[in-house]
Amino acid sequence: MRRQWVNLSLLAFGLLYSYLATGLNPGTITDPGPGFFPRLLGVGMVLAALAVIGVQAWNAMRASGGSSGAVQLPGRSALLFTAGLIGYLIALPTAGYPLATFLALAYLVRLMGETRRGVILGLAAALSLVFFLLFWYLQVPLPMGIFG
Amino acid sequence: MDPLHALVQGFHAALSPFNLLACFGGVLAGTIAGVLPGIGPVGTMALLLPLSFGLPTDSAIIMLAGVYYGAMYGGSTTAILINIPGETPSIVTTFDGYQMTRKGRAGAALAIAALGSFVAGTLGVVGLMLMAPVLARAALRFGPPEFFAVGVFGIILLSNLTSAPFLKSILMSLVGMALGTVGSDLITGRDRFTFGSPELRSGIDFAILTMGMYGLDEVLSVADEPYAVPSLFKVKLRDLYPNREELRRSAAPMLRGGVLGFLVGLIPGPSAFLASLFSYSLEKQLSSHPEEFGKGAVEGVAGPESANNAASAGAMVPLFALGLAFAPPVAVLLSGFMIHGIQPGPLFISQHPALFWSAIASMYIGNAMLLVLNLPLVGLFASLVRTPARFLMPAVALLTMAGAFSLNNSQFDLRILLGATLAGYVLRRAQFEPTPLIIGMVLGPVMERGLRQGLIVTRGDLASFVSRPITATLLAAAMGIVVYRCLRLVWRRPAAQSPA
Amino acid sequence: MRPGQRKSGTWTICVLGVLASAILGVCGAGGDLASAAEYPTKSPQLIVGWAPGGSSDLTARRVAELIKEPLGRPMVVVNRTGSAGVLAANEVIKSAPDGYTVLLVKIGQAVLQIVRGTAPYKTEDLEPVAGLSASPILLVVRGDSKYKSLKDIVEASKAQPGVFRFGHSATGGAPHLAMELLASKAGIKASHVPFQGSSEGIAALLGGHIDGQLLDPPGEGTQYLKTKEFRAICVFEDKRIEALADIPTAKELGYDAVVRVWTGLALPRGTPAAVRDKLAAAAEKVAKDPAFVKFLTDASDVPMYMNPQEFKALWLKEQAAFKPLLESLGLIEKK
Repeated sequence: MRRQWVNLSLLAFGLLYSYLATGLNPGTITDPGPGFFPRLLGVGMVLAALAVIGVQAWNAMRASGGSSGAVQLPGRSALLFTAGLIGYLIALPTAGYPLATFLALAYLVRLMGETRRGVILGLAAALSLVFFLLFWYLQVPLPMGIFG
Repeated sequence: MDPLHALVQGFHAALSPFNLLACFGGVLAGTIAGVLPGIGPVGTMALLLPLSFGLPTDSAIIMLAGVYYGAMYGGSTTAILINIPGETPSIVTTFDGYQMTRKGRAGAALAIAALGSFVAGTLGVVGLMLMAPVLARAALRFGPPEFFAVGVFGIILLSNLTSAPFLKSILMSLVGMALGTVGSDLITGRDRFTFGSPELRSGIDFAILTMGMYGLDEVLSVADEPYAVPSLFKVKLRDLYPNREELRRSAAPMLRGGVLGFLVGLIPGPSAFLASLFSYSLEKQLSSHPEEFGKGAVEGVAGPESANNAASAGAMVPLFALGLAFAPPVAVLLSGFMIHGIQPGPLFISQHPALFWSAIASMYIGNAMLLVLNLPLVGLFASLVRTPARFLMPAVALLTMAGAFSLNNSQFDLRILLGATLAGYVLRRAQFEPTPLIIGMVLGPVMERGLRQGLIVTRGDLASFVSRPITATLLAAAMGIVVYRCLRLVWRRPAAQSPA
Repeated sequence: MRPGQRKSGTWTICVLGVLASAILGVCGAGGDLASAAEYPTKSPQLIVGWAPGGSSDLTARRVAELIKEPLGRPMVVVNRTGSAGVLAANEVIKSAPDGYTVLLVKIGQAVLQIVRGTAPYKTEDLEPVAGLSASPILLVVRGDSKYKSLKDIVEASKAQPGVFRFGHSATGGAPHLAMELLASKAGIKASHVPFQGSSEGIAALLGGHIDGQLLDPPGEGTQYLKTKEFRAICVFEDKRIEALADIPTAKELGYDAVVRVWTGLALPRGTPAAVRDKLAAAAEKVAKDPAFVKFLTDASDVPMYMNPQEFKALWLKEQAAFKPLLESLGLIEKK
């Protein structure tokens, strides 16, 4: 059921959560322990996920194929954008905020379609500076990496 | 000294040039803090605390309070214009606010938000001024069992806000509640679902999830389809202000939102967010055209925006009347008082009347300032959004990341942010809405804490737990809603296909 | 220019940028170790594990400000909330031991959480610098409560174990343990209700939902003592506190349950002794500064200066002292 992979992931999440919740003490109804709520939630999630899967399958059958709930994967741009943000996150501790932000901005602006090099680099530099100053002023301890 | 006379004295003090400056500085800082994702009133107020050391007491309080209610004005701007909430309470504003922008009514939405915030903010101050001690005492009747009931009632009432299929919303609520259990258990101190990570032990901050599932998610959507953002920004900006129809429809929601928000503000927790949700739900129920909600109904902006401002006034009721702070920004305000050697509480109004009344007066002034600040700026903001997506989106993305970092000075939070972004992106495209998840994360812990603390309070006696008056009323109301909805579902099935 | 050229141009710049920064970084990294004599050359950061505006945060800010004179520079307060201070402690421990990252350390981080096993670090990872204050813990009930004294509570609890419900702000925290210690010495059992923050607990007591509340610092509830809405039962001390002179101590009532929520400064392990001693000397001046003393007493807190050795001794003593109690309450994390 390739079309329902999101629903199935949620079901898996529910099952995993329930499994982990069994390690917690449930207590009793008049003296609930840390495991009480989680067990209820786990069961609830699994049931709800099964219901969602079931109903969606039922609807798919009745609508005889077609485009019922086909989940498209993230588009290429979104994936590349996210990859950029992940890379930013990884680089942040070592490269430090100003450099990492500059590179990330340049990459993202380029990704979004700007081709003029001057604009890309200029904007990236200007924005990194502005953000850096803003957060420095707000006394937020940004990781400075190699500049620290 | 009768209240009117005292209020006049208060205005006299609040209108001094220095205090006006302090007020303006505060509300401006607050608005900016509200607009920026991640930076919120708490961080800004904390920043200004050292500054307030040197100020005279009344100016310090005026400034700090200004940041707090000012932030409620700012968050709606980005929510309406680019579908990215600046603060968690503004999530609700994105539902209809952004849709209004798509219809070319961005200016109107911004103006209604500002106007509603003013009306409700002012109503809230009136409430604070007249009823603080009485309301605060009444609110004390809410103990843990009552909070459990509020949690249950809230989850049930708010489960049908968005247009997502019902079953999927329930699943999202449950997932949200499950995420809310991550962290160290309040009652026993045991770790739950933390996998040994000290960062997870303090739980997952729902504000981070908000920024990921709404803010960055929107950025990714635009990245996918930059040209799908309608060319509405080429709409003439003379459509800046609301027309008669919109104003007429907004009036009652604003008033209702004000009252509702103020009352909700008395409760501990993220009351502004809950207030905006309850208001949205109320307006949807009362509206003669509920199908418009989610597509740009102006009531969906007027009500919630008013409610969250009134909630900030409501949150100050326990502060002034009892010296108690139930929300982080109020706690900073409390410290502002303590630094100057003033202890708010039962003795406060009688011992420091001048301070109380000048603070109240300055809140009226502050709300007026914010209205004046925000209305003409509507055009400016609306035009800022005309920045091409290829510049705006990277800037917003990185600003959001820095903002998320600044919440707890934590790089771990950034990983959660990105995880939430991806999860939110995928979920949305599978017809799951993130709103029930956030609601679950907020109300789930409220329910659980209320239940467990409540059972200690009633010494394990379930019967007396549910027979407490407020608890019983709320639980009965919650059950009533469930029954009503089930009946409607059953009754409707022959008529139409319910896509669950 | 042809597209291919333009693209490679941008790429080249980025790569050069990274290389240049890396080189700069490598060169720059070796610099700071030799400057213990000039410490501090910039404002050190004071990491506080609690939210802005809270009592710990306020104390930290006061210290950060007052230390400017003796140290030469003020400190900058950075809030790093989470896990009752453990995240802040962890951050300091992981930072460079050069004296520029200082921890505001309280009993929870240095004693209780280590014994409980909820801290991912060990005692040796922290270098004590100075003890600054020791906040007393106060037990209050409502003014109209049937419990007029500690004796009443003990008697009622002997007749009906668990009948006395008291609120506090963290399971396994010092106030909770203070009451449990008292209970064990009195041979009674009381029911504890944890709340998130003292405001919720005070509200619950005012609303009559619980029977008693532990206040730390006492300052938060003293206005209610004045209005007689609260009645003080005892402080968990051995000598009466000046600011709370008419409140009996647990010791004089017959129970040796002395627990204080103390606050001080600490550095990561491996900080050069010269740097630590400089900071310790400055901290001592702050601790004895009349402005600081006034700040503490106004908040019903009690100044308590300890030098690094005394402070360390305190940590170890209390770790040993609390272990049995924590074990009996089941609060030790099994690994």
